[in-house]
Amino acid sequence: MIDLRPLIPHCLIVGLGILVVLLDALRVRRNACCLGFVTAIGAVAAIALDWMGPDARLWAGQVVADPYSRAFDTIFLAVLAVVALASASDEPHIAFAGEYYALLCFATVGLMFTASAGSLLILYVGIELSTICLMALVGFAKRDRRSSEAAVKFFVLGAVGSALMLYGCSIVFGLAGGTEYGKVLSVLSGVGGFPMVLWLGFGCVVAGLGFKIAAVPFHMWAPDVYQGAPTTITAFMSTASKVGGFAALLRFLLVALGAAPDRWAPVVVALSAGSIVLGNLLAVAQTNLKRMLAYSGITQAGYLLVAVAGASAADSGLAVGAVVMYGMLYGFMNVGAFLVAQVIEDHTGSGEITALKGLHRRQPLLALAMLLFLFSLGGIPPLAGFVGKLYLFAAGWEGGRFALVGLGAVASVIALYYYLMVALQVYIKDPDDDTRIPVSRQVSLAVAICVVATLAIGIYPKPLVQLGDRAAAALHAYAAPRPLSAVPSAQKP
Amino acid sequence: MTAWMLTFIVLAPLTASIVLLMLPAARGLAIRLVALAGGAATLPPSIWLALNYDRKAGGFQFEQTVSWVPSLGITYHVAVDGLSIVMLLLTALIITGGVFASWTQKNRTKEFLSLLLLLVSGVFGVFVSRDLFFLFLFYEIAVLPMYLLIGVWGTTTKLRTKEDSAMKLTLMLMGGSALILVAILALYFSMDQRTFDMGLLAQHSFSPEMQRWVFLLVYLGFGVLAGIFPFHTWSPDGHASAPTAVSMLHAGVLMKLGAYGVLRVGVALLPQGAHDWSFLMGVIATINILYGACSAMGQTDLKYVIAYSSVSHMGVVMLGLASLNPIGVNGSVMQMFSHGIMTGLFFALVGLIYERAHSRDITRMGGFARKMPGVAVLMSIGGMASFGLPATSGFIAEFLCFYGMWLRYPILALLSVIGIVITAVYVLRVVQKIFLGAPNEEGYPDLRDARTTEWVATVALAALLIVVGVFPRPLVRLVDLGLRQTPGVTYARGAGAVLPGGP
Repeated sequence: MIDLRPLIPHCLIVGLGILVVLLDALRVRRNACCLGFVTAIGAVAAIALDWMGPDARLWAGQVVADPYSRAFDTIFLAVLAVVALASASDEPHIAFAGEYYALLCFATVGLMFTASAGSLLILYVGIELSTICLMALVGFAKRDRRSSEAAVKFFVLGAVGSALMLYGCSIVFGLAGGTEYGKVLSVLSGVGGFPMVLWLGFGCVVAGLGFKIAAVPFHMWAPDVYQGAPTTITAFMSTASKVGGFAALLRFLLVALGAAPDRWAPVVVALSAGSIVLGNLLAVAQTNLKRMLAYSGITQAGYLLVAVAGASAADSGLAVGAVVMYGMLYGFMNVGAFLVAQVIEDHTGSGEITALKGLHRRQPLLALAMLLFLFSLGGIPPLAGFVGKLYLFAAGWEGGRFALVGLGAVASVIALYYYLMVALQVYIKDPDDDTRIPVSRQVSLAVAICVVATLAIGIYPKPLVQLGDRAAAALHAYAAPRPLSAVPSAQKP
Repeated sequence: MTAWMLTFIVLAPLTASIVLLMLPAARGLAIRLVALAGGAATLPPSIWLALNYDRKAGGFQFEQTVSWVPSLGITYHVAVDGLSIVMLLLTALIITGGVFASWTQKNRTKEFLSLLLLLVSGVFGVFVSRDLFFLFLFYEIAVLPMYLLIGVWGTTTKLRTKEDSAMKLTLMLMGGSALILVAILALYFSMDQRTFDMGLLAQHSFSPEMQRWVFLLVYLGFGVLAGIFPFHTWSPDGHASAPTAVSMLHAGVLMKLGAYGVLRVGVALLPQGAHDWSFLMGVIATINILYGACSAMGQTDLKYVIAYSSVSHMGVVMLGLASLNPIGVNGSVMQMFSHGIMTGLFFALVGLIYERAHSRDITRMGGFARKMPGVAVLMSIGGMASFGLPATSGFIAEFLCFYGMWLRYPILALLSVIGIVITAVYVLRVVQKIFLGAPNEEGYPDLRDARTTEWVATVALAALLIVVGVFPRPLVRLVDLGLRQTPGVTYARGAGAVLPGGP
């Protein structure tokens, strides 16, 4: 009998999705906004349950529940909670509110499986579950042409990404006779060289994940989709979904390809350098806030890849901890920035950066929050983004990626330019009209959570560093070679 | 209690800054008083530190260590030696003066003072940090508020809009800190243990080759803030655009952070690298001195004159530093202090003149001494300190710098001394144009002398210039004690004995 306790949180979130649909159908939401709160509370409960569950490897290691997966689950669920909370105020206005939250929940479950995936099969299922849910969510504002357009674009390009990945999986399966990472690794170690066909397989899998994290050259979809999708969905996609890609990428590279770090590292370096340079240069030229944040997100993915490039096989160095930590704080600061963008867009009807003009007079607290998010994204202390970026670069340096770290450091200065250009509108320019911008209580609460997290992580990063260390230790232990059958469940770090 | 003294100095302005944000904007007086309290609260502890520093023991004292992120070796570690205490004194004086100087500031006062105090707590943080992580963190806190301070409250000059100046300044300084970040990572990962502690890093001897290139990074990174040629261009634009209190702080204290960083991170941790590059540092410093002074001579905008004079004077600081002997470095730190006070005074006075004359164009001024005699006297005192007239603090500082350089590279010392002459020319020219000569009063109906709060800061700063000039010994000793234990500053035989006042 397999111990299914590690899957309780996954089941909870699935149940939550069904519950909100039922609540919506039963018209319980006369008392508006309750669905968002229910989802948020459910997500927080799932975090707690997740950490209470035992470590285990289910189905011959296909699904792994360990502190590594839990650390990422925490990120996804935290983002889900904040996004659900922020969506709550719009609930009376959107049709099918129940389905909206349900799809968000299912997307989150997909991401949770992505982080737990110990085989290419589960990885593919997890990625697909989250991507397909997000496709529906991107087009959720049906009457809005941009939203529909974004959904179509996301669907087509996402399908290409999935197809590539599935193709890669099938090649690996054919060569290794299995899709579990342990099996792939043992086959890989057995083969002397690194045959071209394997290259093709791995390349396709990495490309599929590249779509998920929106790294150059797989980034094309991001700006249009981010701009067209409902902003709360953009917030979710740009953080949870992106970090989900990293959770899978790290485990795949370090465990399945662990035997040949020198082979895959140049690929990651190229992805990283491309994302940093191109994302930055294109972000500078943007006038639309969400597009700018999309390109800045591509750059941020590049920074994360610096740490990934610095990770080497079976090494419990800084890389994993850095990615976990940055994933978490990036979630808060980026969601926060998108929420502010949403408030402005709802009120002024414009998504341009100039729509933020004079925000300090129209809504001082929101302006202050935006300033903090922007500076945090720019990596300014004492905000979270600073510690996170330092940690990422340290990890890259530790792995000997000196040039890449140098590039990242220079790029952060360029990045500061476009963040400051937004800060200029928010804080320096005076508004054309002085009317106050209303902010609903739910959005205020969500933004406040993001602000507190951004500040707290920046000032006292120790708890998050410890979380990252635990995750790294868990991945290290998982990567250590051992016969798969001998490990039914439960090992404590 | 004493362990918390340094933390208190860092937190006092920070707390005031946060309290200010919570006050309603309409409470003008309360806002100013809170800001003054936050700034001035750092003054008594700084003086207390100077008096209670154990001169026999020397080294770093008043230590406080709190483990922050043990697994990465990040520790909140603060401690000061004589050198840092002098810088703390300077900062406390300038921020107190700065709050006074912005007493009549009207536009978004609350946020202005809040940012000013935030910036200053970063400056204090840099001066007390013994952990590289925190040093860098505070360094950036000290630099970034400048963007908003200049962007919102600055003035657009003929050459540049305030937004452009602010952006240029921020990006150039952040470019510098990118270099520093890389240098810090290089240091961090060449240790056997994970630590950012500067005490431990100083004990480690890094390979000469590594020292050479890491020092260069540190020198260029911090050097941008110290205004080294050719990375000084942010400084005139920034200072000319900035409001009075910000110029005071920036030229008075912030630029010193750059030199302080080169000394603490560069020279102290990488002595070999410093020796390798000392000639380059000396040459650049000489260019700074001459180029800054010549540029100052050509300006007609009063603020640009002062700004370029800062470039020139920071050259003297870097010149003393480049000598790498105790005399020169002593002079360098003294020059930081002296120039900090002097330039604070200058910018405060320029602020006063601008407020009354509504113009900073020197060519159209004249005979102001009749209407504002007090300002004229104070300006002259500052001017005299500027070209190092004996009995002002500038004399002792510049003398030590040039003498120190003479011992190392006589040719550079000779060249840079010409800078003093040029300085005298432009200072006297400015004083003469503005205050003397035929009165040009019809254009300036609002001219009048300084008033209550304005006197406080300016007179105190001017008095200090003279007091330190006449009795430099306590300060020089404090600095000297700090330097004795700084690796990289070679104590040549008998060199300590020629210090004025003796060691």
